[in-house]
Amino acid sequence: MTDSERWTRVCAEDDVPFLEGRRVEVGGFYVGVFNTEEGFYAVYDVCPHRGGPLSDGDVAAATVTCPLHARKIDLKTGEVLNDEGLSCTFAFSVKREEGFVYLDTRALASLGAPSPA
Amino acid sequence: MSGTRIVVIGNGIAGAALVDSLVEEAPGGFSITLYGDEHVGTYDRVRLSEYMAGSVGLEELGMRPRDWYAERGIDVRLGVRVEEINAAAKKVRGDDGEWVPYDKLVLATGSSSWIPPMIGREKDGVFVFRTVRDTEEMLEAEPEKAVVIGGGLLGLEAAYGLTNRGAGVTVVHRSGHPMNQQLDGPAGAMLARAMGDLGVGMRLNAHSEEILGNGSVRGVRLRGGEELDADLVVICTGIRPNAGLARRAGLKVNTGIVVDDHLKTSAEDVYAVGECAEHGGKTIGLVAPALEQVRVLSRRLRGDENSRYVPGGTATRLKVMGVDLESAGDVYGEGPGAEAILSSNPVKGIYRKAVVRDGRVVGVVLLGDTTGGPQLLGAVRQGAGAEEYADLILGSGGGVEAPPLPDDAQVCDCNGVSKGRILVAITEKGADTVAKVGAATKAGASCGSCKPIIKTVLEEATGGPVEEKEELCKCMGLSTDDVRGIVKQRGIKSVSALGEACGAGKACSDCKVGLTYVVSEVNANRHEEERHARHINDRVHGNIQNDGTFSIVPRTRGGVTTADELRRIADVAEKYEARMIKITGSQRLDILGVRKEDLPSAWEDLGMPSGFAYGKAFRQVKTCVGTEFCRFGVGDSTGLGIELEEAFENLYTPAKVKMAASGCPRNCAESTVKDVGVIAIEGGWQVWVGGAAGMDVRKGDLLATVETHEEAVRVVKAFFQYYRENGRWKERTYDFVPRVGLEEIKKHVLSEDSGEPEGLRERLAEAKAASYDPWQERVQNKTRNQFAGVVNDG
Repeated sequence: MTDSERWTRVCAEDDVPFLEGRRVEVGGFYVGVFNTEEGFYAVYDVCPHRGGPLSDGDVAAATVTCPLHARKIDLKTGEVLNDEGLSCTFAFSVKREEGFVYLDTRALASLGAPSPA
Repeated sequence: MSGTRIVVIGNGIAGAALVDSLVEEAPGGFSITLYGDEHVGTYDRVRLSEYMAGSVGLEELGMRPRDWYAERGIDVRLGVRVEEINAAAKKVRGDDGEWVPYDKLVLATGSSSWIPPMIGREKDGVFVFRTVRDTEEMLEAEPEKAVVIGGGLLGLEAAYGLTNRGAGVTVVHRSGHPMNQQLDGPAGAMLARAMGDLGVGMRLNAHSEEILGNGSVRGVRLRGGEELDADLVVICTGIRPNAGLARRAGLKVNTGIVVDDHLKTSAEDVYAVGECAEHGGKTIGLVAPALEQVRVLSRRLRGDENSRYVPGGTATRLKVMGVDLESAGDVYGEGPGAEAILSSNPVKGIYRKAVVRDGRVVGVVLLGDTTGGPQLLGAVRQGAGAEEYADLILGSGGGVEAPPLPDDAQVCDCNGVSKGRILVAITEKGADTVAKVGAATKAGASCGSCKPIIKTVLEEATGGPVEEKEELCKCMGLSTDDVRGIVKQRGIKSVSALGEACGAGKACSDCKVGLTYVVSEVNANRHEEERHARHINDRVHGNIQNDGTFSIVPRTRGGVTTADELRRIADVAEKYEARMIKITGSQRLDILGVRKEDLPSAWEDLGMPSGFAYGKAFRQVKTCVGTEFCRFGVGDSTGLGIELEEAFENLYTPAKVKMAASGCPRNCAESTVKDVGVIAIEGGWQVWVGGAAGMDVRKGDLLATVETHEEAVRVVKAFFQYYRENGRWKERTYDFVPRVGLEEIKKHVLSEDSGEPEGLRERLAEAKAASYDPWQERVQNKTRNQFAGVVNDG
């Protein structure tokens, strides 16, 4: 796989306001892209708890809190920090180049779940 | 990495706590390999007691990020299942194929739900209940008739939850009385009667044989042929130790993996802890004894040959079926040499019993009245002499003072914290709240059931009642008033500047919305608005629904609308494919299920302002038709309601504010159960504050009776602003009014001579002047892609 096949450009850095998230679609999946104090992160945009849109959540440090039931996700790993019983959401590798945000989409194949309509 | 090679199998509570203890107590002393099969949900059982105690989580015992292990040199293998133990060669093999040698092996494989053999358990509508989350999902099924199989603690919890949701519930239990682990026969019978009073049916000494139904559940057949109707069946028949791996390795296994007082199994250098282990013929299913085993084993592995596990001191404290219950030790007291001190009042549903053997307290059951519980449970743990405690059992309600707990009494079973250590935290570390004692000692930090005892110890030590400090920012320990002070003193204009000044809202987002409120209120809405510090509802001005769409409630002041508005509402609902139009309890129309990207054009089509039916803000004024139409009306409640709504709309508040205006004392708008309510009486208006009819029901307090419409508006404005300036974040008026006190509030909002009420109204007017209808943001967005669905470029 070449580098250009691996990285998919999803949006401009400007598209995501500082300390907020926005949703992008890639390969049929919704992904939340987050502009944090520690850099840009991207996770599968479905909360492991009840499927809430994480891109509409509250951001601080490298975490986002789901707007539906306040499950807090570590954006670096996709882990749920305040509900041990839940599995992770998927965390994508992100790179920034010339003002644009790219996701490592090799992992898409491993995301078996369908995109929420 | 050097040191003794330790392999731990199982990353549930016991396994995780053991690893924590070893790296904390002897850093670098061990070379640890930890296997965690993530499919084993050992955490969940704690969550239940956490939930029942309304307490905090077990973050410190929870899943660690991989970095945490790496930093401590731990070889962690999550998702790897150990398939084979070779105890002779002292090595284990996981399904990753690798053999890992050990000096000491610890099995912490936990337990699984046990389901009795029964036909039909795969049908739709059959739930296996092990966690609180199971309950929530189960309740969503909205059953009409439910059967709960198993009348232990979990089963009764499930039955109680279902009953509260209006389901008809029958519990099927194998034993002769419910909760036979924790209660003796008479106490169990009393509890069964309390359940009957709540409408929960009970089949005792009964065995479920078959779950009936074609695809979905329609009932349960009991041995003997009786059939119970049900559209939902919950199985709560307990847990069974995960001992298969140990059995295959040739270790001695009965129900669980058999261990001695040192928690050693039948194999050399192999230990077992937690729910997989069987000690003295008994397995455990609670956190506290599991953690006690972990402490014993940790000391043992660190070289303490005398470290022994002594079972029996574990207590149950909970509320079941709305009845308080505490029990510990041997509750039956059968066999020679056992006697009971007993006090029973079936009329009042009170049962208190201490089992005495050789003059010592060995078991306690307290049902309905748990006075002296901590002392009695402590007596069981220490095997204290019975003489001292007899009066305490018998004297309930008679004013018998419980003796103070001795300093060596264990208060927190989960984390092994004695009263003495709590006293040290109070006197030497200045811990003056339950939360601070928890931070200093971990007492109360796991299941939380000992928090009332910690509070008692605090009160004993400080000689007065303990007030828990309200915390707006938990990370920095700042109250709403602390934050107000910082914002005022330093002239702070934004949440970011506040974060730079004191750290609030930097590490986590939990308090940011509250910080925004304080910053905006102190600056009379002339703050620097930062949308990242608002909840999504206040970023896009709608209420987010469970599917990520939003609801739209346009403002219809006083509940009054027009034919033209109704037409537009109908058109919008159709055009944007709303899932429902709902008439709300506050006399408004709610258009539910609109996509975020459609909000701006929907608002444009409506041409009405936002009703603020989201967020912590002024909501609306509910009215009756008053003198305009009603033949009983004595005041123009509709007119006053609309005027009040215009005065307060678009303003944020510490918690939501609902108002009402009634045109006569018949009070059709329910003014006495609103945050603010006015009622027309002959010759004037009453102003009520602090009422509620939601999660809490509270009749409001009469703040003032005034003669004119204008005076009523003036009083309400002063009160509203006083609450905005002094309320704690998320504190509804029904908590605010009793906390501050009605007389104190009157002093500030009614004493016109002091000039204070006028000052309040002036500041309100200033804030109001800088507010606006947020649906105007459809024209000029506040942030880039504010309402975008997806933002992909190109």
